[in-house]
Amino acid sequence: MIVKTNSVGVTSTGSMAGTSIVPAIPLIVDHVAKSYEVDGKIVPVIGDLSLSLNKGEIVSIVGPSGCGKTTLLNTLCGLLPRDSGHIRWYGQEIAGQPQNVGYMLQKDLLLPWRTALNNVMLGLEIRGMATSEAVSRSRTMLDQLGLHGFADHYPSTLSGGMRQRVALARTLVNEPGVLLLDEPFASLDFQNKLLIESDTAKLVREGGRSLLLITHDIEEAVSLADRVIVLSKRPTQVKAVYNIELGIERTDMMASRDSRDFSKYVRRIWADLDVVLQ
Amino acid sequence: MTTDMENRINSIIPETEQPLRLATKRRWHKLRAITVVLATQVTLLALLLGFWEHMTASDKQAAFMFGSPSAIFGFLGQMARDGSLWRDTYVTGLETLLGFGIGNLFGTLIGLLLWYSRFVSRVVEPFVIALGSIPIIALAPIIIIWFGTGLISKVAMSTLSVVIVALVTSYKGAIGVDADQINLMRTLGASKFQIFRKLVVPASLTDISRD
Repeated sequence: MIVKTNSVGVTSTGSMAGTSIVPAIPLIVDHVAKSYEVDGKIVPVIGDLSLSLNKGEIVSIVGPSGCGKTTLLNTLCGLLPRDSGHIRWYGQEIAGQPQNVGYMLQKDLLLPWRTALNNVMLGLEIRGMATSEAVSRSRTMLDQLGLHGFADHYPSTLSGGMRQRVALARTLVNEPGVLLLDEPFASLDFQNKLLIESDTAKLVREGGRSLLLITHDIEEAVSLADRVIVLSKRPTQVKAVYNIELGIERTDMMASRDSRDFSKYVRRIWADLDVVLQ
Repeated sequence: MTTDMENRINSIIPETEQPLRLATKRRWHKLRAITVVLATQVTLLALLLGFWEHMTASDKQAAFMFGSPSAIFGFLGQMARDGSLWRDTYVTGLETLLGFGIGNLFGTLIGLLLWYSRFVSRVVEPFVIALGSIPIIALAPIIIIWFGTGLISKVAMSTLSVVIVALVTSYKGAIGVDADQINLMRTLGASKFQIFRKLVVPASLTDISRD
């Protein structure tokens, strides 16, 4: 059932199984499987998944609707237990939540009773950082994301794009080595999306962080990532991997779309997803 | 001032005249609808009181059984004059407010703390439901035996009638907190107590105040 697409012109490395364990690699997923029990029946969601995320790398994961992308993310974060396989953060298997990993969803999950600034401070507060330092770091982060002057606004008074920027600031202010983003920009309009994608790429690349982005949006996947991993239908496996080489500065999402090979990648991945009208 | 502004607006953009007049018309319609409802309610009340007064004025037995509006208002006036109305209102109000405060405080506290342990909340659930479905008035005799007829028994009664409601509301608020929100807190490294204090408590309290 699973066909590895190796015959395409673009580099396709197939499965990442068997990657050797190097402690420096931020994330290695090794033959992970995960199933749910529904009405006494076992429903496999993740079949056998292996992938890796290198330091400073942006990897996008795309897959057909309902292929268990969110289950994968929650399993990686230790929020869901896996059935088998290994997940290594910086070479180590961790019980519970990995430290130094930022997590962001489509829902901004801002706390309505806190101002933008206090929302951004949440993680620093939990870590017990002194208030004055937490405030100044959070303000700087908001400024970097173009939210200068909105620090004291409550989420209900901010637009969808701004709220998602606050959520991004809340993730980045903790200076995570790895960011796990699950459809973070899916609910934004095209203009806001492009702007926040560009800012994300810039902040992630400048900080030498790694980013694993789960998305439906093939264009988003290609324009942001160094590598796109295409997942199969459930039970999920890696169907194909593309190294995205656009030959340009990778922090401008419009320039990415203008580059010569952009639409070639998009078309290949679209074909891989094997989308049919239901 | 309004006409001044209207004139100015009209002189700049005459087309706004139409929407402005429409808005005024709509406001007028709304006001009229409210007035009609209020007038009908007042008329209905007057009719009921009149009927009651009429029936009890002519019949001594009915007046004994049902009271009469004029006698009630008369007694109210007498109580107001001798000061007992204010004293009694104060005492009843105090009992009610004390009970309301104590009941809400403890109910909310217990409800929120039940979030902490799924096991404990499962164990106590049927007891809470059973307690909640007892009419509090049925406990009145026991409460009077325990606490006498003074202030404490009344406060206990009003506390009991509030505590279960507050408990159930705050517990529902606490377990209704978005699972993704809790996951986010966990990925930020929050302990269970931090999740409770920074997320569950404020979330359910804003929930309660909204209800």
